[in-house]
Amino acid sequence: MSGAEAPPRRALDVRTRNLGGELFVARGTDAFQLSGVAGTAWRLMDGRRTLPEIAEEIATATGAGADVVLADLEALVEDLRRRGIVAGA
Amino acid sequence: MPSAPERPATAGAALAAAHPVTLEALEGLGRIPDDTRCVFVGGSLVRGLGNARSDVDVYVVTGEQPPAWDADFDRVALTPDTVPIAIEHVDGRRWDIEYWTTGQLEQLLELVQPAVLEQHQPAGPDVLRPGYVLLDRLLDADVLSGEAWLAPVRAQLEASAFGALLITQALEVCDHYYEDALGQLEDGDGLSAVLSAHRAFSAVVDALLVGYGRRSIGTSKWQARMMAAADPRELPFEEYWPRITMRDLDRDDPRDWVSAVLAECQRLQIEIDVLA
Repeated sequence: MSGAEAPPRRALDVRTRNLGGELFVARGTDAFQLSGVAGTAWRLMDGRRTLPEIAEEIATATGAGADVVLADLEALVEDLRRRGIVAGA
Repeated sequence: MPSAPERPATAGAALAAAHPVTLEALEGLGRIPDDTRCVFVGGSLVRGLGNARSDVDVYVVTGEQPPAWDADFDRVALTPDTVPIAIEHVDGRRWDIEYWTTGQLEQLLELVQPAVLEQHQPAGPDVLRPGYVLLDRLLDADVLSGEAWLAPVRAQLEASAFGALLITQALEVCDHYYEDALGQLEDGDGLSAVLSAHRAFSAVVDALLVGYGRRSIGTSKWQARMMAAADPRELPFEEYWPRITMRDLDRDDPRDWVSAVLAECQRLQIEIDVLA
């Protein structure tokens, strides 16, 4: 995956609940929790920020290396895209 | 229970001018039973939202249920399953006086304990609406009599999951219309999708407002004023107003508007902490 690809955005047919800061998403009968960085990334996938920009924001907030965060996010987005809950990217 | 940063005072002279009801007036009308524990006024007038045509909502809590005063009552999924209502017209304004028993109030408080959030389908406003309205108004009540009796009840309610339950139910309403809008959009029925998306948006705003101490049960008629007063950081009034009034809707091509509104619903679902 390349950072030059379309910014990831949440698929419209996905519902989210925020329970005490923990995010739970559901699409059809498929439901799961997005914890920690995955939840933060989910918040930022607004279809405007590119994946490198999201990685940069998270790296700045957590003090982790941007390259490491980006690599993790690429894997996460690929998984979410395969589940149909992320469009673009 | 979400905090209410701008909640009105609960009693005192500041509220006396907001509505004309006094304990003496109610006693003079013969509307206060002997075993009354508490009398309070709630609703739009107490919250500073009412107008000259608004009814006054009076609540009387008694040990035993009095007779159905004027053969008028609400149904509620409690025991007993009726709430007698007396109606008076005083100086051109209607007073609705509801009679709740201490037992009904105890049952209601049980139904809003945190454990209900774990139920797949908690009992909702359809069968409990009058009771939810009672609890809602109790939180902002102008107490005319029985403050000492009511104080621990209110404390119990403030520590309950009532707010989380209202948020959950509003989000479920949002989900319902959201799904409709998606299906209608996919079917090319853009006009219907507009109305469904609008209702989904209104519902998610209701959920958002609960977190700001501004609850509405079964009605959104005060939503704009509540949003103007709360001006939530998650959705400032200046962003809310064009959406709710459909200012940027292109009737001939509503697809973009519907998609944008649904995306906004989705963003707000992320922001609204059900448990806050």
